[in-house]
Amino acid sequence: MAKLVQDYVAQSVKKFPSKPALVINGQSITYAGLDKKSTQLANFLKEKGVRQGDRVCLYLPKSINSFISIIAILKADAIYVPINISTPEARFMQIVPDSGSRFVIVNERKSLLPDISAVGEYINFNTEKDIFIEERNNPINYANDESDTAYILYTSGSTGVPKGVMITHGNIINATDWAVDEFGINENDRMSQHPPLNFDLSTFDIYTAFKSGATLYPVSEELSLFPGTLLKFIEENELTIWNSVPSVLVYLWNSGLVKPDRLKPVRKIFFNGEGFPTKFLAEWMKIFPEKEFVNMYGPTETTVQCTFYRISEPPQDLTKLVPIGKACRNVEVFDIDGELYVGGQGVGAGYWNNPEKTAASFVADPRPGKRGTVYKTGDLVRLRADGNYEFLGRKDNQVKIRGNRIELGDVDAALYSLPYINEAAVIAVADSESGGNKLVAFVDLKKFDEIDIKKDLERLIPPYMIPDEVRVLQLPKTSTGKIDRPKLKEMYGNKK
Amino acid sequence: MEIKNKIKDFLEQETQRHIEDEKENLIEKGILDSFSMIKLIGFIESEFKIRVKMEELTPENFNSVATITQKVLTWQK
Repeated sequence: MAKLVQDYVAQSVKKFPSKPALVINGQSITYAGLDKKSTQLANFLKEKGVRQGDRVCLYLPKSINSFISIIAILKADAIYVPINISTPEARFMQIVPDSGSRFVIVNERKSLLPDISAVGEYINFNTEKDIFIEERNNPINYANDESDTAYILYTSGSTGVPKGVMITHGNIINATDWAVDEFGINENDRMSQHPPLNFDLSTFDIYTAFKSGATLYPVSEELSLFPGTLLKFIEENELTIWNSVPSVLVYLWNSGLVKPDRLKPVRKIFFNGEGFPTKFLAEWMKIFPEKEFVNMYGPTETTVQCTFYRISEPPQDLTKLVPIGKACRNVEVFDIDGELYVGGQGVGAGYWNNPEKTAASFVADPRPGKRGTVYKTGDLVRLRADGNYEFLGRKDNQVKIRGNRIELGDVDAALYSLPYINEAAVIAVADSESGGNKLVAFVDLKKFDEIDIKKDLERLIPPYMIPDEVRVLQLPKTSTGKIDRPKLKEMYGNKK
Repeated sequence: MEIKNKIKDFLEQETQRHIEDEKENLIEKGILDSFSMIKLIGFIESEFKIRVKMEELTPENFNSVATITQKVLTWQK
């Protein structure tokens, strides 16, 4: 049995040394190669002074090296902190110091990188040419155990400062072992790896593949914008399992290219991160009755998925989302006054360096006679008579845009930081074309000349957080003087 | 108006973002995303009276105003 995440690679090397672990852009690496190179890099990191529990950031496009880096950081008893390559410098410069990372692994020409000399240094695959050498093959004894943190994922925070969710080796192993057993994932599978590495969905595809000896096929995010190319990619690589946010599947559907004679090798389709607009889900299921469709649900704080729902036939009621289902193995879910709580082995270790936020959301089990820590999701749910949960909405101002979790306060804070903004409020509205949400910003300006709000936001927040529309007006207020967000929503609806 | 300018104007208006020049990578910048892509394709089809071949769209030939213009020109032939 694996105790630490990197044990999955070691076990697959024994069974399938020459099988490809990863195929990306025509290049591949076998399990033996992944194991060897990650050991070399881990020894290199240790020589650099990386110690148990140190954080190491990853800031590079998906490549074989990014996956070697993940395993290497874990082998060095350290914690990986993936930062999306599209993250603007301002946010990057929040995350690196907040995580206290002394090293940031990159693959760039140095001149283009932000200056981090005050807090740490870069390890650049482009300039460090002698990382992967035979002298660094010596096996490593791990000091970590399953309660130690494996990764920290930064998510949008309500006050404009991202917060780091800590997930342990034990959390990942529980989620992975369950998924491999439940869905019969095996060494013959070819698994898509679509979500960016800073997105918790990636935990599912990376580790179920590494555990079962399957082959992982990383998909660049931009490929998803080109339906024909993406379908061809899936078919040519004969992917058997697809895992992504539903918006990608909606987008593919809207291209008109998804037909019964396509995507033949795919046998299972997993989606997670947001509700799959039911109209589109029903269409997918109707043309692919032989494929298995599974709705997965889980906040980053509870390790990818804490509930799941197998959809046995195309949904009839198109006005309702399919259920998020029942708890995964060794996980418990329950609701108090309609808010979902998660307990058991999926519950993460809290927010990095943030005891206050941790105490607010990771709470003692409130049920009489129960012990242990449970996570308060902020998701409103309803328990159906058949024991499956349905997702109804959020308690707070968190929204999902194409699966990306966004605190509206985070976008508000970015707007308020612009010197010419008097007042600002961002709302999420339904987007009929995608079946999902889009952001609309309402702003009151101090000056009107020579400003480009979206361009200024580009420097501050990731592309998916930039509002689709910006409207300039004096903001309506409630009787207590607060910005009247419901009124803004109403105004938007009327003025479309 | 040139095809190039029409595409640039449309995208700028649609996304309310400024496009520096025709070589700018619209995908990296987040200007072309799954929302604006669908709208752009609709615009190209109606404005230039052509049928966009979804199979021919690739990240290489559809990532900047310049490459999109090139592709539209080949479809017009």
